[in-house]
Amino acid sequence: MNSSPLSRRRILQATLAGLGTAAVGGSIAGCAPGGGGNDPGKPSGLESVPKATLPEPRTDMLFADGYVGPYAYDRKPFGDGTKTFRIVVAQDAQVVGDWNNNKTTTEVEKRTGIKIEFVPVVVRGTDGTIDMTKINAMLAGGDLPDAFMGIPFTTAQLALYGQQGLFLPLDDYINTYSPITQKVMTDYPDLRGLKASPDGKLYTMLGVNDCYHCNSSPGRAWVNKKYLDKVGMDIPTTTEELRQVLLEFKNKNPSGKSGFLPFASSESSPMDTFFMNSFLANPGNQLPGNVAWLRLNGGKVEFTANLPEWREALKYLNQLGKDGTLTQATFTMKDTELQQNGNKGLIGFTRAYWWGSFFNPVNLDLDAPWRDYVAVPPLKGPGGVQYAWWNYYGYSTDGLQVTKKCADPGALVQWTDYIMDLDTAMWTYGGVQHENWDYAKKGDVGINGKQALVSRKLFPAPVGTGWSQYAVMYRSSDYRLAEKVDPKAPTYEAGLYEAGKKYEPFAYPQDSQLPPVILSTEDSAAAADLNTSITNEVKVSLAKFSLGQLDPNNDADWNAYLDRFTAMNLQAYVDIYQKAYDSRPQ
Amino acid sequence: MKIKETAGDRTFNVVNTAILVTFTLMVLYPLIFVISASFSSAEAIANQEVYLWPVGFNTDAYATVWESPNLLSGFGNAVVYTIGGALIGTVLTVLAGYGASREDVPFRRVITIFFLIPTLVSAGIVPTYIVVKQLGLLDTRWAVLLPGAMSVFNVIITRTFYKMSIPNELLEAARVDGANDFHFFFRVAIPLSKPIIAVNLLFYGLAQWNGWFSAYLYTNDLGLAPIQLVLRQLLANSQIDPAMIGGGDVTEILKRRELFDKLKYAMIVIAMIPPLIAYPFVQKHFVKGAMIGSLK
Repeated sequence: MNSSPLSRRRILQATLAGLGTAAVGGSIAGCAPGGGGNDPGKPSGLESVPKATLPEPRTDMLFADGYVGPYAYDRKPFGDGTKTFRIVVAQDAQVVGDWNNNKTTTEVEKRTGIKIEFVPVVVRGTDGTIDMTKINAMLAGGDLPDAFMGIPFTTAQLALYGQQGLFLPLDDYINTYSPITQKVMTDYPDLRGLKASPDGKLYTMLGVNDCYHCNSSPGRAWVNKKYLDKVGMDIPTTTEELRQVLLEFKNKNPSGKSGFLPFASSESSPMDTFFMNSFLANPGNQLPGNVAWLRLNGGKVEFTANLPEWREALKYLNQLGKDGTLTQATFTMKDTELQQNGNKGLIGFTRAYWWGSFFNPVNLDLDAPWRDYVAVPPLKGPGGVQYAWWNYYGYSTDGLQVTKKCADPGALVQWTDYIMDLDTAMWTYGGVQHENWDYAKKGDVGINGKQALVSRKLFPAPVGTGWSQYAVMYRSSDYRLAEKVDPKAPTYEAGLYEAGKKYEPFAYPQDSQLPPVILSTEDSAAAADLNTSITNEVKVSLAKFSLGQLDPNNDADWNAYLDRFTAMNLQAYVDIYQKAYDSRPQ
Repeated sequence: MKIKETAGDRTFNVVNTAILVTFTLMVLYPLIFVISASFSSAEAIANQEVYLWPVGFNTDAYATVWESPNLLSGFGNAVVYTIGGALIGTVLTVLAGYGASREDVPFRRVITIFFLIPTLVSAGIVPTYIVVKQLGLLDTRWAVLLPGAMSVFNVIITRTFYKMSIPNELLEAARVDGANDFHFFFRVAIPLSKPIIAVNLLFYGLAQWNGWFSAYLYTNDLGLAPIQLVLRQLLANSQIDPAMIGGGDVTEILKRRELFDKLKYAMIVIAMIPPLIAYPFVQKHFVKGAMIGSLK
């Protein structure tokens, strides 16, 4: 005879069992926040440990004039080969191969005297976005390594785990053990502020990967020079000239093929970063973090998509829509379809990141069709505004975080310092010296036209020889641009550098860009919600105004658009970011 | 003597055949396309020239798979997990299902409720991770085989099967003949359980073959990864959008994209062929077993 499952006795038994489990579970899962007890305030280095210093940099490689970047130093290994540390890294079987069975790993071990056991973890989902499930499970489950390297933590996550005590504050350690990081902070003064937490502490080692052309890439546009010549026009410099070019393309079809698209774009390439900047300074939503159309104006956070200048820009796009050069396909075409159209030579003008966005494959033949496409510098709008989209803060990368489990944080900080040395960094990035890379000779020319520093055969380096871009690096702009190019076989980098150069003079001023800020947990949830609805409204309305479904010349349509933003509480979104901006760490 | 078909019969046959043929083609075409694409050149695929038969026939993709160590070990691991997971799951499920079906088991209702609770109320990723970690299973093959080894849904199906196909009278008759419970289970119940064993083997085998999450969460060593996880990682690493690559090294983007395009279809074929081959053999039992839920 079973008593009913809902009898009083059974409920009591179940409750007691449940409470018991909860108590045990609580004591296991709750990590007592412990380590990192260094006093905040000015980082003064660790007491009783002499500060590490750098010897004179090596001179057996060639630096261009005015070079700012990493140097190489002759230093002896600081470890004695007995200590082993566990570091969690990003898994990448196609490029790095087996982290523990890798030529660079062996070389780094030789140079530092520290053994590292790498634990590779998958951090990307199948759509390319970051997937931190495994990392979060490790952190919450107490399965801590000694450090994380190259894992894409957001600054907010760094702050959170730092405040919980999982990551150690590293300012004092950097001051004592890492002279190279100190030098990086001098060369790039804004860098620490980008990665520090609201409590003022720094919970990560700092890395720099300053890609010159990336600073302008979401706002670049390309036009086919051959087709331009065929219709007898020059590269447009004003919005009106572009309009004429597009009309000529449409009417004369210089490609001679059916299905020619005077203006093509894909659903993942936004248009406002290029066009709206001819009317006002507009960062769009392409800055890291996808902040929706916010900029700074005299220290005040401002939304750009409801300003009068935006309306003027919409009128211009509306005109293009009426001309028939801006069509629905421009907004809805899939990325792969754009590439197919590019392959067939059907594209006249496009707003794209680089040639690979509208060509696939992109091989390096000298007569490859993608070479016909040249960058279109920012256009001057009817009001005389001529800005280029620019990112002033895009150079920081994932670094190395030391966890509270590490028995010797100083050793890991010093290890990081050693791998940031130019010579070792070239190993991590380029693989085996003399096999895949070498220092350049006198007279070799780099991407920026100055004396080259290194020459490299393949990137990524052959599997099993390098660490791709996951190490903590100091890859300054000068260093990146000092890679040798063969003038007879120009690669993409040189072309992208040239394109970037065309945009740089027009970049909107730095104090127009809202720097990356850290939102508190409550704020970030609210901001994420608002971001979704705001982004949707801006994109859909942009398409509707351009294609004529709404008319920017019509006051009623424009006011209804403004009202929709008020209705979705746009002001709260702006206020959240104003608060975060005012309280950001330096 | 052939029975003459009425006009109605004939019409029905024609329409029926037409609909079935259409469905078959709709299902068959993607299969043929994938196989053809796996033998075509990457450019032809990018330009959408492949419709039915391979364009630019080559076996590059399969050669790359053969050379790539992880992909082959992934295939081997998947076979190990499929067979191991199917066996473990079936043994546990049949034992549990049989036990739950016998009315003379004490505390039967409590046990059934105990089984149902985790199905309805799952603790989530982090507590499960902690449990697996503390059992010392992290980074071993058992971490893929043991968590979730038995699905309560299958236990219920098995229980229903036993209730319906092994009448109480049979048990009493066996008792009269002097059989104890174990004799009865091994000598009478198991031989009668062929359909349900086949169903369980198939369900668990397929779940393990298609599964990647346990390996993703609990193992770090790529040598333990089943093929779906390797595929997933290949896919994830090829989809990097330029802004996120932290440096805009476009050659890296290209190389990844190229590798993925080359391998995508070959990977699908490799991942899909074994179940395709195994299925016709288990189908007979599967159909019989799948009807278990319906009333006799």
